[in-house]
Amino acid sequence: MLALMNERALVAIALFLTGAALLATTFGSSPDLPPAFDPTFFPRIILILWVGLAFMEIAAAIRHGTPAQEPAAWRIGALIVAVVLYAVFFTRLGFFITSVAFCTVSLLALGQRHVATIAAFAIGAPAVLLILFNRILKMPLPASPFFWWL
Amino acid sequence: MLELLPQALGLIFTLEGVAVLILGTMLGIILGALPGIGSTVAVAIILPFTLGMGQIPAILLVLAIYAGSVYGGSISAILINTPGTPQSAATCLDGYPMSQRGEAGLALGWATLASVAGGIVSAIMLILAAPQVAAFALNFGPIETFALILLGLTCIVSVSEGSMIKGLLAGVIGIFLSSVGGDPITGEGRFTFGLFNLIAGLDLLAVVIGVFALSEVLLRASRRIDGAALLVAFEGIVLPKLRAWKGRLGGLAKSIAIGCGVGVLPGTGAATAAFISYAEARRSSPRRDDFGKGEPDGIIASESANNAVTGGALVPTMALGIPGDAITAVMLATLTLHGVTPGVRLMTSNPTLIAAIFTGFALINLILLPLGMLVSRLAAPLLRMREAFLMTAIAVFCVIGVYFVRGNPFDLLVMAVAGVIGFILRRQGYPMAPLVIGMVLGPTLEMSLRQGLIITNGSFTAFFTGHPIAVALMIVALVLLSLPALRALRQRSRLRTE
Repeated sequence: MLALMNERALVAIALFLTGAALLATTFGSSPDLPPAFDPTFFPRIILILWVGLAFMEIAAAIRHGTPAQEPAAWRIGALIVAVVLYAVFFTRLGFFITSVAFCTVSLLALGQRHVATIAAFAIGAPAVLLILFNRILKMPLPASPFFWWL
Repeated sequence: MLELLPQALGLIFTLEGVAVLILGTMLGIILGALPGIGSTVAVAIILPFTLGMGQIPAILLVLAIYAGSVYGGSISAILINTPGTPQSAATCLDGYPMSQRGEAGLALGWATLASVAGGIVSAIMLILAAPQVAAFALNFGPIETFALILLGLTCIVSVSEGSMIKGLLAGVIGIFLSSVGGDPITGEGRFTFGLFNLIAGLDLLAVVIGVFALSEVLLRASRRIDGAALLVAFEGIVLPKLRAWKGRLGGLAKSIAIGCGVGVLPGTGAATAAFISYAEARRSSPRRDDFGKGEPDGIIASESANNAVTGGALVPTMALGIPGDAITAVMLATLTLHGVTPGVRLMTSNPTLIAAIFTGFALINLILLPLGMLVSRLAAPLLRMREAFLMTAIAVFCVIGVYFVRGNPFDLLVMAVAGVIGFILRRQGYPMAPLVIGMVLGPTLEMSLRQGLIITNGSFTAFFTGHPIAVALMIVALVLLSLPALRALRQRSRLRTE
């Protein structure tokens, strides 16, 4: 069975299980209402379609599995973590600090190695955007709790 | 309305009015071209600046940003395969392959001319027929709207490249995502799992930017490539030669008609029009086999329709006070801020203002051609940036853009998660366009279905009696759905006979 598992099948199984779990939550929670007033009526139809299509995709993936692609794991992992942390801390630590950190990690993950260029872009681009939005467009970006001018 | 034209032109052609038209359109194109910013954010960004202006210049500025950014969205869609808004997603399908072939300038030339044509025709249509069209739109009840949305959903079949199952699954996921949050009728929370932030639902723009732009950054990072390998060559817009239009004008006219028609109907929007038009062009074009590989007919269909919507969407916004899409909803706020109360009476109580707005809109679409050619050249340095810098800048713009829509930190998280999921799905060949179509059409589909069931006392069969428009639309949807299967059958039988 494990030999049949390929990346495509795993994604399809994950989708199937997600759909099935969501579908299960639509049963038994609300009283017996007419369709028009039942909040789960429409999503239930959609989730049944979701589960059915995911099942068909699992069958297709097992039949015509594609070889796993080279994942470039560290590069993608670093970038995904950087994106999520950037989104989480954007409003908490402010635009400038988070953007400098994100740009540095992102440029390194995307293969840049020239320190001066990375530093210039990672500091310069957020600084320009900060001036553009805060001073010219008067649309303040989230400020840092540590440095009021950033 | 034509008799009011001199007065309308007098209101527009002031120093402030002309400056606003030119600078607003240029700014709109630039903002629309920036990945992750898009029309809604562009209009929202500019909204506070209009408060110190007069009524007409303020409304013209917002209109210029609106029309300019809708066109500008095609620049990023064609050059870096990253649509800023859902309406330019269909443009990626053929625009980017053309860019990869080294025809980025020509692709933008097709997009520019199609956009200008769509915008101008829709503006003329507005000036001549706005009151009548608004009256016809009133005939659309929930059942007719439900049938129309079903028709819109048939385009998922067309945009499902490679695997129909994957495309349909992505579309279904999109419709489901649109149902997360408060139930539109009872207000009860659905699939919120105790998270207060999910009560308001998932922000469309956050999901769209995540699955298109952020996932693109991740996808490019996953390919071991050198800095500028995937950047396309672009030296400015190249307008297609006159003879290249041969055999394409019919498609252009059809796409503009679709754009105007869909735009007028409340709650549908430019993304719907672009995908319906693209699907129709893909079905009817003699060059349909080249769709998805860089066929200009695909760009014409998408760009002419989404720009034609800009005019059409103004009809329900101005005449009924119902926004045609998210952008016109922001515009509605602008109008209200400037003392214009949109509604049925506006056309009769203040016809000069309406004439000035519509005439200004037509002028904006006229100057879109020279300004588009000028501004797109300014965008060229963006393309010469090494991919690592461009992708990093795109990610930063995505975060800024999503932050400015609602200022909600939760939306940023939604965008990040959508980006990661989009990346995983795209690696396995799931198209993202159906997901966005599902998310755009989902709420209207559900609302119209349930309202229809209320009207008919829960009877589905009543949907088919006494609603000739709905029946006609459903028949068309059914025919369009069965066409690919019929075509495949015909092809198979032809192969057998050969």
